Amino acid sequence: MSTANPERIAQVREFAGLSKTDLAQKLEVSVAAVSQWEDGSKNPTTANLISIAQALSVDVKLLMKPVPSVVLTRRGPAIFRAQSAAKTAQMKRRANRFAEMASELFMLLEQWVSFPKIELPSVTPSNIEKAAETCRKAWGLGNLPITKLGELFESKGIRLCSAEFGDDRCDAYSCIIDGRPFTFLGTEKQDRARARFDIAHELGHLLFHQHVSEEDILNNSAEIEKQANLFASAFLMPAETFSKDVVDTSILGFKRLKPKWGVSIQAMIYRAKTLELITEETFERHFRNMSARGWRKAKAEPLDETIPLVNRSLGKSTLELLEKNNVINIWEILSDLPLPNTVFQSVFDRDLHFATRNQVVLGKEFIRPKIDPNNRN
Amino acid sequence: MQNEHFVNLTKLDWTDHNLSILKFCKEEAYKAVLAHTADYPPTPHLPVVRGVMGWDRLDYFLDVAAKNNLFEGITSRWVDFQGAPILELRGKYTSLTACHVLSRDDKPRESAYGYRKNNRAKNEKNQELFAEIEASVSEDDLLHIILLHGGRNDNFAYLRIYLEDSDIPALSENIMLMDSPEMTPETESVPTPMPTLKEAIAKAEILPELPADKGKNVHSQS
Repeated sequence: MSTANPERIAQVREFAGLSKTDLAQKLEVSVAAVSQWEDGSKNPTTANLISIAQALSVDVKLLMKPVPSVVLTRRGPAIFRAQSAAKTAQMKRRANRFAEMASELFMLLEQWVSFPKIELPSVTPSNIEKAAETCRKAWGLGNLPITKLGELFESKGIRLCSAEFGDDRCDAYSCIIDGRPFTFLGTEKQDRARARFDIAHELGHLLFHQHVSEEDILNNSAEIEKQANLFASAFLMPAETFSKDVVDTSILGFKRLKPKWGVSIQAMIYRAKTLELITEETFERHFRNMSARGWRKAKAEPLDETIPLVNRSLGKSTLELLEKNNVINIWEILSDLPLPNTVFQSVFDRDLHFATRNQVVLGKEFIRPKIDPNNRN
Repeated sequence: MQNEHFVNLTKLDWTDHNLSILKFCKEEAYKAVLAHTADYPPTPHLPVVRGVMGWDRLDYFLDVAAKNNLFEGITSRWVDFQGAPILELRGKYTSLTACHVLSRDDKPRESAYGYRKNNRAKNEKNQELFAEIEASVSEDDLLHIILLHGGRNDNFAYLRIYLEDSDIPALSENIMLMDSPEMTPETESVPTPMPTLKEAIAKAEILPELPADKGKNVHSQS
């Protein structure tokens, strides 16, 4: 008799982006049966459990693994960049489940390692310029451009993960689970300037909106988005130093500043308007001009290649630390907590299939492989 | 002697820092013009067009730089001289206007309504006022100096002063050969986020129990 975990079944199903009906159809069972498995009123048979695992492309063992309760009970709402673009409830559920799993993996790692201390200063959106200034100060920063944005976030305790949303209109989201801040950055968009702005935007959400209810987020999404955008803008382009650089307020002048400040021309023009370095009329003219040049389309702005990538290194270096000290390797982690491969990639930034090939070629990178990763996804 | 006096006086307003900002503005103006005219047809008029645009863009940048407090002790204002707008950068002792010329040996052209001629006359008249630097200077008695700049085949910018009859050498070296100002070129120093192995783990031989094993089911199973 299998002992499936009801919450885990629901979690993995929603992570796979399936409704109860979808799963029922795949398994050729009734929707009521799926509901019963998920509310714990009925346990799936061993045959059913194997079918569920196959349908959801996970290891059976995962379905029997309890979900740590804090992951479920102490999870704040996921706040999406471009809330309206997170069009379906299904996508939000999937994102929440993704966050839960990544959080679970980090919890596991915390058994062995200590991560950088979480430093989220207490600020409010009542004065966004001041909030950005306070945050920079609390983080020991001045007013200079920040090149290593990903490293900065991770060094302040924010867990930075990649995520596939399956919809390129959804860029990023963040949430706090058991007091740990998480930011998930979409992999669909390759635009570096956008990615940098996205995570600064998410920082705004983490600082301002962690106590806002899911309902209030939905009802006030425009205002909440605006606050996060203004924060990102002020955080990345401090008034004092950015203003001094804006000598040439033509589009080409902003273009020249792009590699230095690591933000899009569009973001700089917005910032210049907020700081009253350009008039409303100039602002509108610049936007018409950018549209005419085709720069407002995704990935169309010039000089993106000059902007530093948002690097995630914490998960990767954690794994290296554990493997180097022979504490545990990725295959043992995967064996003990067989989360989907995408979650491992999201946290560790390591392609498990590539690692397998390496293992064969080098014969020493992974010392104690326990499972066949080709059977896992 | 006369020249030394002008040089000393000019240096009080146009410190190395302020000169480096002049250099920065000129560089930015010329770059902006080149970028803006990159697609222009290469007619013989093009250098002239660029010259006119450079004159306009430099005044604009100087004005913005002053308004953003890039200069020390220098303010800007647009003077309406008989309908012709002229940008003046004003310090404590000097008033500076920019003039684009083709060659570094050229003299500024006469302005249509005699602005430059008037200033030469004022400089002549005011010479004695500046005999003592500490003497208070009224706004109308400033020494009128010119930022003479060009760059079609050359890259130069000098501070010059002109009197009615005297030939005064340049008040500065070629500004374009000075060091560039530091325009916040640095970036914030960010530490590499490093996890550390827990002390107990580093010493322990037995791996700890995995948290998921300890986790409590939210929903009980039947």
